[in-house]
Amino acid sequence: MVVTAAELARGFIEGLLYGSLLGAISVGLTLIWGVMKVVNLAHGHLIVLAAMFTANFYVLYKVALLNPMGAIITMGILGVVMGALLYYTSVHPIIGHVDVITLKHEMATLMATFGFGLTLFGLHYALAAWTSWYSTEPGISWSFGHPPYVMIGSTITIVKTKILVGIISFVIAFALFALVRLTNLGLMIQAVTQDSRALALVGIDPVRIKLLTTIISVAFAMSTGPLYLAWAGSVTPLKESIIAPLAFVIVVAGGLGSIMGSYVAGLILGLTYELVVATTQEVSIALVVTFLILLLILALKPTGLFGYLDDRLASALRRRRGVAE
Amino acid sequence: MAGEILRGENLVKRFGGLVAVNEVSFEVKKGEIFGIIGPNGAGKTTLFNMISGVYKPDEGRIIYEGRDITNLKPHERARLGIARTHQVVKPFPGLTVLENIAVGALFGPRYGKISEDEALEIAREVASFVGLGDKIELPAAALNVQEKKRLELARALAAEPRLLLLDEVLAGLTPAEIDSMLGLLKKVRDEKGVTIMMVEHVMHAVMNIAERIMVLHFGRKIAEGPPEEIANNPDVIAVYLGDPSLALKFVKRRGGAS
Amino acid sequence: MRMLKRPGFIASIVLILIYLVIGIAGQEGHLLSIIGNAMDTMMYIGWALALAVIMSYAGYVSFGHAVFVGIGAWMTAVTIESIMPSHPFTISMFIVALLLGAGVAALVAYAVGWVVLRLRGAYFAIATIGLDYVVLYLAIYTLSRAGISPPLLFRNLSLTVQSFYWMHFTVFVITLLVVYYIKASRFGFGLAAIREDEEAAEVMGVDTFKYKLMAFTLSALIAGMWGVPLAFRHAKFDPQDVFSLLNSVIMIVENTVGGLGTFLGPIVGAYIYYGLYWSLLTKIAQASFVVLGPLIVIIIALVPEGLVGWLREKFPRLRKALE
Repeated sequence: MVVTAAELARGFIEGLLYGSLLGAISVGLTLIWGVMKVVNLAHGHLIVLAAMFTANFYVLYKVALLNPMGAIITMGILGVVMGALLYYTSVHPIIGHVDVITLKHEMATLMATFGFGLTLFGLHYALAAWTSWYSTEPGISWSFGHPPYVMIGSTITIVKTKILVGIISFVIAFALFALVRLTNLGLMIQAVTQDSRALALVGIDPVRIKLLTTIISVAFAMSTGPLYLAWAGSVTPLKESIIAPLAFVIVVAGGLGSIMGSYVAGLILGLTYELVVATTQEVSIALVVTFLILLLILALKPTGLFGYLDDRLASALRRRRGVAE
Repeated sequence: MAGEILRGENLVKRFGGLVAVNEVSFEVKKGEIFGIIGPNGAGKTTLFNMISGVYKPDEGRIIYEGRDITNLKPHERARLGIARTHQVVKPFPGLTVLENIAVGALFGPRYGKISEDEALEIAREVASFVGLGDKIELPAAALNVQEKKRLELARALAAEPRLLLLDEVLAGLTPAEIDSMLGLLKKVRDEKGVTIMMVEHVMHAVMNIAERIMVLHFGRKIAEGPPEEIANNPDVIAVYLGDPSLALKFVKRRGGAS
Repeated sequence: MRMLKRPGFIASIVLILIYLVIGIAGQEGHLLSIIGNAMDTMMYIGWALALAVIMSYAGYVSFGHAVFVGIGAWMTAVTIESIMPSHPFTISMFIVALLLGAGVAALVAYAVGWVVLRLRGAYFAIATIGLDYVVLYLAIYTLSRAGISPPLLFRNLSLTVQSFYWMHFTVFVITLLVVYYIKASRFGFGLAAIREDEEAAEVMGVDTFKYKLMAFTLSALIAGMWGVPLAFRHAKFDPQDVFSLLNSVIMIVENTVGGLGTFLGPIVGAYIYYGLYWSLLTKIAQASFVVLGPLIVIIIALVPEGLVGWLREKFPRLRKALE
């Protein structure tokens, strides 16, 4: 099979856009994992929950707030509630009052968040089985603009929705970066990473910071659910098994706790995926490559590739702000 | 003169820019109790980690019973008869006292030569030797600090080591507990003929029990000799004067000795 | 040998006898309904014990363990469709599939173990998930290159329910005996030491890396065996189904609920899981996770040591009996 230059170019552009989405999907995970050593196995389920709710309720009520773009805010707000729920059920009982988190705590929160995620997964099927208004395969279709695509040259067409998703994804990832690296709240969150006893000494309740970190992580995760829905065009609870493993690959590759590191790793992964698909026309081999990359990084550099990005970017931005003032 | 069991030759260990152990050489004779003292950060535990194989030295060699063991892994050294305890006790919390000690017996120098049942039998004997005979069915997590230290010692002894490394076994114990632990250590050496190297902070105790003492300071060896000599060594006193509380202990000790 | 007088071994023999009686009685035909449930429980116990070797005994939680069950099923497909393509079913076909399934699973675990067993905790868990996906998509790719869109349905081998039962039973007996031996032997002691404190274990003379590698390989070998009766029974190889993370989930839940570090824990956990699964089974099986999920969260928060572990702690006198 001959691959045309146009197909490759389209693969490149879509890869960057898809990568941007993947990066945004992963930043919440790297925050909670990096700061609190909580490997949140419910992460993918929370994103799918947001996508499923958006699809179901939009189909039902056609509420403007639940159109895919308005839903980013709505689901972010729902994420605040879900984050608190996740914290008090699966995180607080294990590490709420623990200062130094050991491997045993890490495994315990891993299992607990796993149970939490499983509950969300079952919830879709339970709602569908016991109510008449919920579907596990909600039918939905959106298109933006007239025409719904952009032409580049005479042969490359890119769907406008995908461009929009790529841009908003960047905004979300950068907003989290700014929140964590450029604000006072972010400083406190960073302090929890080091040692939560230090916080207690200056009169800040470490539990509150842990709760806030969880809430922020989940809110940002859930706000990307509608974006995923807009990109993929459909969602089922089973999509978690695609989203979550990709997010884990990206977080590990990006360097634990590094938000912009994750975003860049997402870009690279999206690019790799789309280019392999464009050249081989095989989705399965693209996924094989994706997960081989994970194993390779874990084998060679388990600390990740772009861990330094956050520090560099934060100090560069602070310097610029200092000059402006 | 008794033969040597362990020799360190120009050992160096660096962590980034910090030289934790700097060209330290020493010799330990068979059957002696060899003490290592020094202020915090002197490199005592790092030295132990090099002997037990947790760290590989950046330079130098370690000779044990005439054999170069510098490149052996920790478990290989354990099978040659080197056992140790940890500064921060590391019993297996979920296993019973008996099981903890049996692991020591099964995987020490007798690895492959005894059955699980025999190991449990040995564990029972060693448990009563260190005074834990009535606690063998308890999970290790249920013991208090003193008992945990005894358990670590028992686990090391069950292996029938020829060289025993003790990392601050006396720290955190009451004076009465220290006396009983010292009695136990003497018993170990006298009855089982085990060579003991001990890192200690409790100065008075180590002065009492060790035949020879090596003093480390910022990774360097500054003195070595019998306790009386060490207590009167001007370099050692100078080092400890940097730390008033330690210096006070030292002055007391000297006053008591003369 | 004292090992043969201990509760774990006696429990294994009792279980084997019970399932032997069910199998013989089931030949009569009017007990067929029990046969299906008995096969299911044997499989769930088998899965639980397979994972137990690496998760419960050595303390390394493999989240992608379904990969080895999947490899077993895949190799069964290879045996039936490629190695013995026109043979009628014989015992030798089952044996070839079993050797191939277990062998390839063990080989993959051994090779991958060299890399992933240097990782700890969550990193190890994530790496095993990665492995599961690599093999899953490789299987889908291989099938599609052969012009098959999954699932791959086997040719008709005219097998009866009884023959499926004895396949399960064979693997069940091997699993119980092998895993019990692992737990009760010196190897089991070493794994327990690794689980409790890996660094201390190494300093005490446990060759930690070799032991972990052996445990991971054996654990994969047993899981690989279980893919074989599964594939025969369903007469198909469906990658999305056998490699599903939900299968790994079931194994982990069984071990967690039952209690880590014991031989009986995973077995008890398997019965609890199966009981819950059936009693909760609604129109849609996945809905049962609404109950299973919170159960895991509650167990982790309240009784992190699992049911058997909790009993051992509450009633120290039972410690010896609840091996």
